[in-house]
Amino acid sequence: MIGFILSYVSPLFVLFPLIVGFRNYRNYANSEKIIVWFLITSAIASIICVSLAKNGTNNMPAFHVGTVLEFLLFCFFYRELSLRKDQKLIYLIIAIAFVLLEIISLIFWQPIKTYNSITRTTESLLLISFAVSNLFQNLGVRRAGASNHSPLIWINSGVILYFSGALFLFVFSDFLAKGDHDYYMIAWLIHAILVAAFLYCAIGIYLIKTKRK
Amino acid sequence: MNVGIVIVAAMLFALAIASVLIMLYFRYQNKLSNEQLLQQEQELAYQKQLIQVTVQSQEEERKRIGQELHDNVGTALSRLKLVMESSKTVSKSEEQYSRELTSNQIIESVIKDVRSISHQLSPTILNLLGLEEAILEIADQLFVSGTLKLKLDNRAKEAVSNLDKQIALALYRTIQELVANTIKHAKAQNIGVLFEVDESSFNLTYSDDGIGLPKTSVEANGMGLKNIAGRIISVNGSVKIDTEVSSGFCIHIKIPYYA
Repeated sequence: MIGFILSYVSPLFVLFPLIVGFRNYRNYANSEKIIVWFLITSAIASIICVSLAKNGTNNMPAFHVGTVLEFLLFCFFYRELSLRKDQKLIYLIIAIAFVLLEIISLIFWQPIKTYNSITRTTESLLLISFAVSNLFQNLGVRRAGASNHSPLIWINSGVILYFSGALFLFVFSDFLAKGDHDYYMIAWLIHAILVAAFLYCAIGIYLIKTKRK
Repeated sequence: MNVGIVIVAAMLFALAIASVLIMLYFRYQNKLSNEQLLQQEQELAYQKQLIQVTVQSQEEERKRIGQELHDNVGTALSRLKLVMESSKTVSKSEEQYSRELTSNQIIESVIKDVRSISHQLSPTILNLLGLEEAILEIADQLFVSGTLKLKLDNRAKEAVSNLDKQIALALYRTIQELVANTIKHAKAQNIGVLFEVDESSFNLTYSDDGIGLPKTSVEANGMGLKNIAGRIISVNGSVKIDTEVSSGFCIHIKIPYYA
């Protein structure tokens, strides 16, 4: 049952926002297009991971590549949202630093066929802080409608929920893998449910669509 | 203690904290939005009140000036006419006769003008006979002047006679303003005024067959159109202008009305 959820239900959470995202793509702003591309990347990464796992092949390389792409896309998403030039530069520097960290980690600490807990943890911490700072920047901003009609709040909420929930899994995944198998599976089951946070992105994208109408 | 359970618990705890914080954020933002909405509503209500007060004081001032003209200037002119008639000399030269005649004609004309102005400023006919008769009086005046024809199509007789005095006055003033605009700018020959009612509103449609207005002029909202919009808003109504160059002018006015 857990295996079924991990293999099939979880990737479905990515597919749904993807379908929503492709509608009206041309009218999106750059930041919104990046989110759609993030969803596409996630969907492809999920399919590759599941296929490799089904064939009994090590799917960790896909995680390594997926993590870098995911972080870069989110980093550019927040870069697009920031209005100040210095902020844009900071996001660019962080993106480059993250790619370097992945390369260093690959060479020295976590080779391509092991789980990339260092970069996943770093990614989680950075994206949570990006999302939180973005929410705080918009804290006093008065909107015409209710906050649940703001696409950005939904997307940020999705990021915070997913990465804060998965953070401990990423930090201790090596530890869990060596310990009790049941808890390892439960932790990944929770992760699979956390992927539902992608639905928040779908709501965000859907709201962009309805707002433009 | 099993470390695995601690990690799973930590994951759930972090998720719970994040969920609570996000919920609080949503609530705070909603509170701000509601405050903004309330503030907007209050500003709108204040503006409406301001327009109502302005329109009301304008009306009172018009009424006062109209009465002053009618009672003082009009009476004084009538007395002057009487005095002139009583001081007519029996034997007079042709020149004297001509002067008297001209003076009488001028006084007659001034009395007429004063009466007309005082009626416009304080429309007695509206108070006495209602909106329909007041509009028909405007139509008569236009007909007599020979410049324009105004056709009133009243499909809401009951509603017109039941209209609130303030609303009737607002509509009367609006029509006056629109007729003045048509005379000044439209080069029209016919004006149509239509009264209708539907389930929730009383509708007035005013149209002419003149040269129309470019849409930009309507958006720029000239003084006359601003006055009309102000008057209609003051009675909770709405205005929609439908015009284009060389296709005449049409304005739809909607006022909440429940039979």
